[in-house]
Amino acid sequence: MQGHEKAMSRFVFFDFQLSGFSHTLRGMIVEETMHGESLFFAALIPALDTPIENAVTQADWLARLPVLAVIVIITLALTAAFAIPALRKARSNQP
Amino acid sequence: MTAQVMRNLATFRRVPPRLVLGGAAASALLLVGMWALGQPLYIIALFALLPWLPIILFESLWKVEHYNWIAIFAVLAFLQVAHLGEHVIQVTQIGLASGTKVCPPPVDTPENAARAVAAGLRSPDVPATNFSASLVVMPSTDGIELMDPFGNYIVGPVGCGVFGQLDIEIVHLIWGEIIGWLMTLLLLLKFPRSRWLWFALIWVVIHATEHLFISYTYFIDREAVFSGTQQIWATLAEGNIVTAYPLGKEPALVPFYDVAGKFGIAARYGLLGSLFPQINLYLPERHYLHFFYNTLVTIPTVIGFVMVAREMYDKYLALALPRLSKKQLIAATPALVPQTFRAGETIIRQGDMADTFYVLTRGIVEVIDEHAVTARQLARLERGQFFGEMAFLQGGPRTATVRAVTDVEVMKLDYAAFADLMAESEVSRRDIEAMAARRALALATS
Repeated sequence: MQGHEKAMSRFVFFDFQLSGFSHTLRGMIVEETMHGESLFFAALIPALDTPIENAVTQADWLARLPVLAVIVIITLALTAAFAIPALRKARSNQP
Repeated sequence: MTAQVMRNLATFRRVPPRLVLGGAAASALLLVGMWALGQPLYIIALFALLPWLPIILFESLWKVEHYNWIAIFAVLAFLQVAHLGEHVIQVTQIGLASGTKVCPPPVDTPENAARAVAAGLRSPDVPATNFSASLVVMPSTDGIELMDPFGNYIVGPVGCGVFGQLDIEIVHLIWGEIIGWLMTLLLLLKFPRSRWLWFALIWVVIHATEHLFISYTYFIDREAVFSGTQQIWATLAEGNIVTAYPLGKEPALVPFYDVAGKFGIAARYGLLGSLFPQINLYLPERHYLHFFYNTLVTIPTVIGFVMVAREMYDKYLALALPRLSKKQLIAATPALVPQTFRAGETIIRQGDMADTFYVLTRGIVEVIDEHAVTARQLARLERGQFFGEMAFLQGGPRTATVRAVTDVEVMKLDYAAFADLMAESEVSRRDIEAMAARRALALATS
């Protein structure tokens, strides 16, 4: 049986979660002991979300800090615009 | 008290029971039907939810009209719970079911289907379905299929919650900012003493900052100057269940978002992890971090709502009897029963036996003396006014007819509950007696 046929044979709608769970467990136990490479972590850190090494430098992040600073200031200012009157109301006897 | 208030909120007041039952039956039929047709989970869930949407919308509008900000608080709590539900499902899919986070999921387009045919994975006779993938063969870091120690592919769900197609930045932004942040701030103005809401606000602000920054990188910082890769998918369709199959990666120049911005500030590979690499491995991945944020927002929001909901009362009862105390209003509200009348319908008839007090909550009614030589209008009443009190005070039949001029909604309070309320509030009883005296005078001189 070809690999993809094996995979397709398991494409049963209500079976997929159980199947996936057992794979995770098996992978975790077997891979940890046989190869020293954790399939469990492979499952937890999908390859799609792993950034490419060195594609982005610290300088790229640092260059975006001013934008973050502006976002933080705007967020806090807008929050304060509501929160300060709310705090005043909370401390007063206003119903 | 809390249980009673919760029952009051959960009970359908605006939508008639037959429509609720009809909606439930339609939902169940669609759920079973879609399941029998072999539709993917998101289609089953979508169709099962559809009949409920108009029902919940109309009912929510009614509750906002009657309970004002507490109903809006309920809407926020409900939306946050629904949001958390999607997060719980997503981390379960990824953490426990070998799910792959590829959001939004690949779609079974002709292009993806053709790739599967070219790779010998799919028969050319199976047309593209244009359905989103429900299952994913997990890719390795090279973008090709990852094999387990037994030589099998690792197949799991798409790790994007139930409605993975909505797992996109604009939805995160609207949910996090408009619904989460701004609604929490507005509610704080109304419920400033809710410590739970203040606690939720801390995490709402942090969450909002994360999403505003991520959204900046996604929508504005668009220059594609970074060396990245693009995952190539082939799609296989079995009935309506589509599986995405990884065929590798191709180099591409991509914007900052794709290589870094999507991780945000505090998630692994994000701003903090990049500036301080030694802490990167200790930081949670984005889906776990945002699950954590949402948990810390949702739990205090729900508790805060439960606390303030104990002080819920119908605003029209307060308008009709303004000298009732808050405690009396809260106690009487669950006994109110809504009823609607079409324009021209008679609500009470002069001479009939009486057992109900009415508060007008929508529309206009006219009070008519039908026992006069020619029927004569005594008064017109609008929302926030009451009628049906004279027979209660005098102990006889109805003294006048009340007819709907427009479509009308009233809240009914049976005389037993009304008597309890009057026994509790002497000032309100005097107000009602004064009003009854004026109305009796108008009737006598008609």
